[in-house]
Amino acid sequence: MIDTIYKVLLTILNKENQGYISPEEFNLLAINVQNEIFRSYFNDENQAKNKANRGLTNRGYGNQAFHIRQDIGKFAVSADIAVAAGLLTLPSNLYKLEDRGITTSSGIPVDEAERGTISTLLRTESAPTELYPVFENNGNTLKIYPNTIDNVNVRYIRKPLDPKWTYTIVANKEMYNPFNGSFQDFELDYSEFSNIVLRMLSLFGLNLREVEVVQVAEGLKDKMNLKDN
Amino acid sequence: MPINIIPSADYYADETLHGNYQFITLEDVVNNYIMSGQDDDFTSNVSRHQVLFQARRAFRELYYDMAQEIKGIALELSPQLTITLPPDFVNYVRISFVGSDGLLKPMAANDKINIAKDYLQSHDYEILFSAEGCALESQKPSVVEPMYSWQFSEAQVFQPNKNLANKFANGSYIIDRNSGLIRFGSEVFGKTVVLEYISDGLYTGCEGRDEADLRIHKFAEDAVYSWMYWKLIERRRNVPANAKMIARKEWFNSRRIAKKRMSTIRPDELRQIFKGSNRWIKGV
Repeated sequence: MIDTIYKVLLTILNKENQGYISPEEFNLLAINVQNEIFRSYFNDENQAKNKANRGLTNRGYGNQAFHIRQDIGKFAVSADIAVAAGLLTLPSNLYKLEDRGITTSSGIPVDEAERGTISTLLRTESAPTELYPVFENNGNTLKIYPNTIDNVNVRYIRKPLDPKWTYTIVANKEMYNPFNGSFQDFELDYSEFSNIVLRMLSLFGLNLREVEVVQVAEGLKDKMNLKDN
Repeated sequence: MPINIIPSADYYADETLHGNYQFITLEDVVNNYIMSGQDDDFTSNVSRHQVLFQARRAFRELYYDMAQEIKGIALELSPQLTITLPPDFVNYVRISFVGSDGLLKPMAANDKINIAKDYLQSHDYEILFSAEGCALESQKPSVVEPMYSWQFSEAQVFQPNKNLANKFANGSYIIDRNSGLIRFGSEVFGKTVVLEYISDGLYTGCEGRDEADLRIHKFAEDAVYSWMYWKLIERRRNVPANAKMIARKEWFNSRRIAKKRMSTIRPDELRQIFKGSNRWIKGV
């Protein structure tokens, strides 16, 4: 998908050879656009659910929350992680933990306790036990209560890999080379093709100081958003 | 493994499983409640430990007056005529001693047994205090008051003894909740006393169950969920008052149904009662 997007952008922008985008520039903005779209999934799912709760969503192909969950689900990871003295070090590729996504090795959910409530919780009759464990956020670790739990399964959404359009120089021209070791396509679904193009167009329009490009791209983006919602 | 998928042979071989199918565990209640929540449920964002807290409270409520799980212990009475309340004691149902015929002889509560603390006093009647400033108490056991059929007040007005101790030849007792003791009259000196009592279903010490085995009868399952829902929305600002009112009503209704189910009257039992109703009781 990445090569097609690059070519589409060049076709639109490089009219009269005035809007050339180098692969380096493309790669930089591609990372930004991918992250922007990925980040919006979480809010989109919430909105789609709110819509469903108002009775405005049907089952089948129109089930937006289901589609967005599919988009997010592509980045879902499950990992068994050892807990040392009640501390669990979070994976480096973690984007967000899934809601109720931590379970002990025997499948018991480890629920989140807000940092402000943990000290009180520990002194109540519902204080965490091996059957009802909790965790609190603690820097890049999670503190698990009780500290006798030594292994957990963490279900989380990982960060998307940075897209990279790789090439080889042939006759002073960059030729697309997907076999390069550092090649990385967009990780988003193909349905995001137009969304990526429009967002990149908007950014490149700013970069090239082409007001018209920005206006057209923003207008099309708004149109697409209206249609989706 | 849920009991409904355990092979029967394993069930009969494992004593701990006997009769388990009639119960649902606290853990199942908590997980079922969380699982059954919809996205637009008022309680969908409630954390597991809050659900657990309300589930425990529901167990308590229902164990007190619905669950009918009566525990019993038999103890030989000490010379001080006291027995210590069991660690999971919440309230007693009946206190008896074991007669020579092996049958239980129910005893009567007697609120005239002295349970007062004896403070030490000086020769001029001042209370004596320890170095920490606490009143010193006598270590001697409380004196057991003799029982009278009729009592005279200070004004010498003749008043009937309203407690039933005088009508029970089997002896008497008083629950001293502050000291955690049951004090007995001297009639049962040296006898084996049986205490039947109720707990709250949540005790996990030696006399109770493991945390994973805390359970309640399935007849009460719906009442437990109703209580949890009501209590979880009760103090929320964004829940309409009528939703709270309906939840409260639902709890009382489901508790009533649970009680009714637990107190099933079987035709045989009814026949038994009616059969005895025309029998003359001598002396009445």
